[in-house]
Amino acid sequence: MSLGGYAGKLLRVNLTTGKIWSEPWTPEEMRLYVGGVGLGAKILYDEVGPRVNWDHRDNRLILATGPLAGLPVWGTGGLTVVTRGAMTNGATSTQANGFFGACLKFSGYDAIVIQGQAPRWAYLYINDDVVDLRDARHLLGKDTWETQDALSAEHGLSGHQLSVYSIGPAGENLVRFAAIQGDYGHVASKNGCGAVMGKKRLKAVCIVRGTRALAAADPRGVIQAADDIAHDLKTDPSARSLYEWGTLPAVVGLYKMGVLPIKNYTTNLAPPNVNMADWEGPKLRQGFDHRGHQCSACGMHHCHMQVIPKGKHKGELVDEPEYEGWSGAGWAIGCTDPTAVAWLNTRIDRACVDVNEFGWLCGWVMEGIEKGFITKAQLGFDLGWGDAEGANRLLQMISHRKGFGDLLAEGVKRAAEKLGGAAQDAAIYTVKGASPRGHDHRARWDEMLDTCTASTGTLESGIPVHVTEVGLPPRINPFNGEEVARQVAGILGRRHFEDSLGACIFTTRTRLENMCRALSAATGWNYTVTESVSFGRRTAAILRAFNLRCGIGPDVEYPSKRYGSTPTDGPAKGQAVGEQWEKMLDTWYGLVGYDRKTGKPKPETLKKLGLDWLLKDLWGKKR
Amino acid sequence: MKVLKIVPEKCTGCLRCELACSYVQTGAFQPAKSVIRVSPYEGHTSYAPYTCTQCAEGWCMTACPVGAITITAAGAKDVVDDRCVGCKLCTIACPYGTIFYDHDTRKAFKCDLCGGAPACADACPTAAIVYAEAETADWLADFAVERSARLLAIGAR
Repeated sequence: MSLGGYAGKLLRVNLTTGKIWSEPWTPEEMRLYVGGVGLGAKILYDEVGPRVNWDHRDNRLILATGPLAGLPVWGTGGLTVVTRGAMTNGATSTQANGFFGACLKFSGYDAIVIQGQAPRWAYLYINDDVVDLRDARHLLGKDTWETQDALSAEHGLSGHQLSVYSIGPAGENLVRFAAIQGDYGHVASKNGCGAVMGKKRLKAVCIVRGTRALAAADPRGVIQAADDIAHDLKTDPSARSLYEWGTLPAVVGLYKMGVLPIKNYTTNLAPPNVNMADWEGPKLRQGFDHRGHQCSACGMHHCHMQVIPKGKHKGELVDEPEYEGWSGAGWAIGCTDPTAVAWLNTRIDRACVDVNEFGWLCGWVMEGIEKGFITKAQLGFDLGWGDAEGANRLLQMISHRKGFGDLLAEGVKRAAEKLGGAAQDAAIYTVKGASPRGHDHRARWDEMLDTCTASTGTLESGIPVHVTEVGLPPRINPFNGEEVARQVAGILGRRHFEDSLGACIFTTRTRLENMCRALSAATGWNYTVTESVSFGRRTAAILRAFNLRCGIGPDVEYPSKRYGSTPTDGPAKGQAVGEQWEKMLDTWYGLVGYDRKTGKPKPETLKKLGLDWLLKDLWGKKR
Repeated sequence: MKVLKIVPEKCTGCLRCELACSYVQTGAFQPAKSVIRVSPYEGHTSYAPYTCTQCAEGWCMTACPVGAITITAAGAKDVVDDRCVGCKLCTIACPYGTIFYDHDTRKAFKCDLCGGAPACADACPTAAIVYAEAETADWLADFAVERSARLLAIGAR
């Protein structure tokens, strides 16, 4: 009998040879690497060498879940994708929810590790012990929703009897910010993980809901911890609005702080014809015929399906946009018609690219047309601010690499660097290549610092949750670089722990103590908050060591010119992050125990984290 | 009497009821062994949980050749394992498809209302499953009549 909470096996797939096998992992390894990004980081470090770039066949695509997936803790259908990603050509940790994790665990596996490149397009089919690679040529060109429809019909299964995670046309055509989407609306979007899957010629992973049992060491304890977590989510002021309305209230909330990105960071003020009261969470939801569409075991009123109520696309079924969608498919490109945003957002999920990067790219093109650094002739058509139909045309050009779309498919950083001059000055990116989240980080410095220093291809530490639990002050001045850096450094590790459990970022908005309790009840361990933080920091250090080995160091930990600029209007007007940047880095490096010059975790940091095995790799033999 | 009532429009398809049910049945989490099952409707946009309604006629009881199905104190039709010979007649007789055969135990199994405190109702985060007083055990028939009337009325408009 395996350890409670775990299926006990990893599923290995070599696409080149077609060999599929399972390998057990030990309770000791489980305690050290937990699952999700913790497990993925170790496999990535061990198996992907510095010369194995993101598009090399030996790159690994690790689809991992965690010990809480499949248990009744809310929002535990989790998928974490770990790979060497196309945007940074470094480590990736990106999450999606839905039912992937639960289906995989009930099939008897904790993670899928994919290597090689299929000789022809294939999809991976998992039905308990029946695991095989099947011809996917008939699925080519289909978007992610069409792919799931087709596979459901093919296997005669519907709803949550089958969990399908696939790439769209963008992944097939190796768009650098292509994503992996599953179960109608859940996207692992960061660092071009969809391009990696496309390079491997793997169209989809399709899991029939398994029939196996998942035991817990103390099942009553798991249910009790789940109830306590649910209580926190329903009643804690910071989580309650998420419980009620998902991420919808963030639009107005962040606008008030100058964090809602508007028209490619050119302003922080809503246009005069827009009434922000129409953008309150309840208004956004009630503007559509909608229906809850929850992930495994989840009680949040978060994910919804909705119907386009009017206009050209009336009657189309879409996934209710998350805040990131309202921002990337909306405000960032100057689109303030909720119906148009909701429609475009699902087009992006279906073509399957990262909605954040698409927003920065599309907004940049729109600004370029307005200011002349990109011409209509170059683009092939006119594209003005807020034009959702035009944005979709751009999306299709990008996902099929047609015309100017071929350059744009490289992402805004590479496209802007190619064009140079005014075009480069207007582009929002990190020098490392990671896409910023759908925020105006010029008023949220913690996330800018986090995105630039991260080793995961996206935020690595944020969002701060119950920070007093790890000894940090409950509030900081968001424009005091020192305080910001202390917070970002202070919370390092928590995110890695959450992303190793197979749970959702929103349902882990409870105290660490509760998460540890759920993990202990599942496994029978006595897992403490201290161990969780130490585990998280250990994972962060492994990811950083991986990136350093890939040649990604402190020299690229900077925002682009526009991304790090000073807002000229709105609530954060005049707040200059650039002036405090170096000092923020100094403080952050000092507190996380990494060497400021080389970026390496210091020997004493490694020893403290139990990573003595990394000493030799990072610091040479003598240490 | 108390019955398990389903409110389909409240179900979000999280399948937490299946986890809770399987835990009570087996001591582990195994939706394949749950006797409440969530079905999708209208593509992937709507879900509804579905289990034995403890219907008044009880065809499973009538069909059972060895009298293995009895009525418990909570009013549930329940399979007495010691008597069940695993012939599956009950699974064929049930018009609702809510009595199952377990290949491991080689017995029939079905909802027994958890002895009067159904775990599925407890686990449902949206109150789509409630254990409540009803005038008749055949609330499902009433529901069907009401729903058909409503749909027919819409169709007639």
